[in-house]
Amino acid sequence: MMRICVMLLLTAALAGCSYPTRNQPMTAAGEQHPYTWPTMNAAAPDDMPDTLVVVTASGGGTRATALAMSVFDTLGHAKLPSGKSLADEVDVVSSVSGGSVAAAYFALHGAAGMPALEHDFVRTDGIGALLAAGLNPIGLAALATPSKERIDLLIDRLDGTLFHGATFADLAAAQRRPYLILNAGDMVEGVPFPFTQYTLDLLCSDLKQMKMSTAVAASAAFPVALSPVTLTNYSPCTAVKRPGWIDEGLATQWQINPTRLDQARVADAYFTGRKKYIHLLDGGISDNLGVAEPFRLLTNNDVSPLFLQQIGSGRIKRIVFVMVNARSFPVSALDQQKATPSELSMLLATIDSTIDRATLGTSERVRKLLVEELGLDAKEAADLGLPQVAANLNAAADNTTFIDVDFDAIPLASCRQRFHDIPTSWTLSGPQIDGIEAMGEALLGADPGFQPLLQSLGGHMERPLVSIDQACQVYPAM
Amino acid sequence: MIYITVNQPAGRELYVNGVYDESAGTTPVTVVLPAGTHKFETLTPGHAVDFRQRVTNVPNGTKETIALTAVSPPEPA
Repeated sequence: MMRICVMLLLTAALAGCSYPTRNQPMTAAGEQHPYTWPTMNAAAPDDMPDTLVVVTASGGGTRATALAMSVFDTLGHAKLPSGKSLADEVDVVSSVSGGSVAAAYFALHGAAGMPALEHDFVRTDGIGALLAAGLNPIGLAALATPSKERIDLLIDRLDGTLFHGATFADLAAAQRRPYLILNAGDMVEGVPFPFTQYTLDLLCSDLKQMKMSTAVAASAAFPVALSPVTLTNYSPCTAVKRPGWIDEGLATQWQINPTRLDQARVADAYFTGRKKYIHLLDGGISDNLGVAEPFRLLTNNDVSPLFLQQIGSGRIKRIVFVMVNARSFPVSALDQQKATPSELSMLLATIDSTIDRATLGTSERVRKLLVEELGLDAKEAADLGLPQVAANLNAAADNTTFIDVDFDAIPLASCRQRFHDIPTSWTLSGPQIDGIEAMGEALLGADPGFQPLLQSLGGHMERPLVSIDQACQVYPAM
Repeated sequence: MIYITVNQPAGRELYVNGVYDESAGTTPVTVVLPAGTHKFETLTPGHAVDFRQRVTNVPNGTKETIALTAVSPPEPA
């Protein structure tokens, strides 16, 4: 008992009174070889330079991690004539929350890393580990001080099991595709906060020094249950020049392009230092699919990569967009009771329903952009007397493959509901994980775009894919 | 979208909206952009802006051809 008291006092004394600093200021050294699209693209050879492959991975705890992991693994078994796999040709991965765990690990280790991700994280009792770390005398004492926050439980777990201190500098040094975009949400602005150097430039901060576990945890900081990841805004500073697009965006009339003006206003608030601290929560509060940043890159030319211009100039002739959506939609007992829901139920419903329903709208926006709007832009360019631009846009429109990995695509209602009922948690049962892994593979393979894509690339699967019916049997009704 | 063709100076790498780590193409080039205000520049080998032009509040469905204006002396990018 005496020993515990001494340790508690020691912890409190050592913890100090300061909140943790999660990000570092940009320096002249930090500006060398930043982790950006051009540096990644130059360092990592692209065997399919005219094909843009984007994978987005949604939030949803371990359910989302497992689903994204299954997709990366399956892409790793899709072999191309070059000897590489389709996973090797993924150019951009953009993710949220649970999807970010898989995305970050994939970016560091490739598809070959998926078995380790499964063993070291997916199939472990994450909730138990977090509770054990927090609900012991030392943990409780540490959490009572400003220097240790609830989000540190997740950061420490991610670091201890998966990332082992890896930073974005390690990602830059790996010189491999894909370009990783982890997405958190600015709690105050309610907008996505993608962890890219272009975003960190607005805070005069060096992304390379950011721990992967911190960025992933920020992406997965579920409101209330976990605390936000708070970044320090070091702007204004001399190390980073004001990004040119901000002034152009601010000079855009609201009626002409409200989205761009809004983005410029937020960026201006960051870069002028008006916001001294940025509190980041789960990216799902603003974009639970991780598609906002890829959508932005495909619709304007304000930051690298200039995908819109690459499409317009004909450099990109084909787009493959794989959207992994682990949205859950469990049957709620609230629908069956007349009694007024409790405060906790109201709070959880407010958070969950906002996150889950928001994915529907963004999914449709991206699909509409890729399937319809490119074609409309091509017609517009033709009508304006720009035949080459029109031809380039048409080429991309005609060669866009949109692949949906979404439990909503399961035809059998009872099976679909079983997967929708899998909770948003960091602990899932073995059968649940088995089912998700099988269903991820099945949904990818069953998408009408996947097999034609593989054939057009001259590729083949190393092994037969499970069907959706077979995946339903892997996780049968109890 | 809007479609801005930059034709002068010819044979130069074009940079849009201060994105200096990636060229938008070699002039003359047509740049596809969202509606609004945009800036176009070329850089000297020493990474200074030597030509620049801006289009302001261009609405969707517009095509324009512009020539950049010399920046003298060139300004650091």
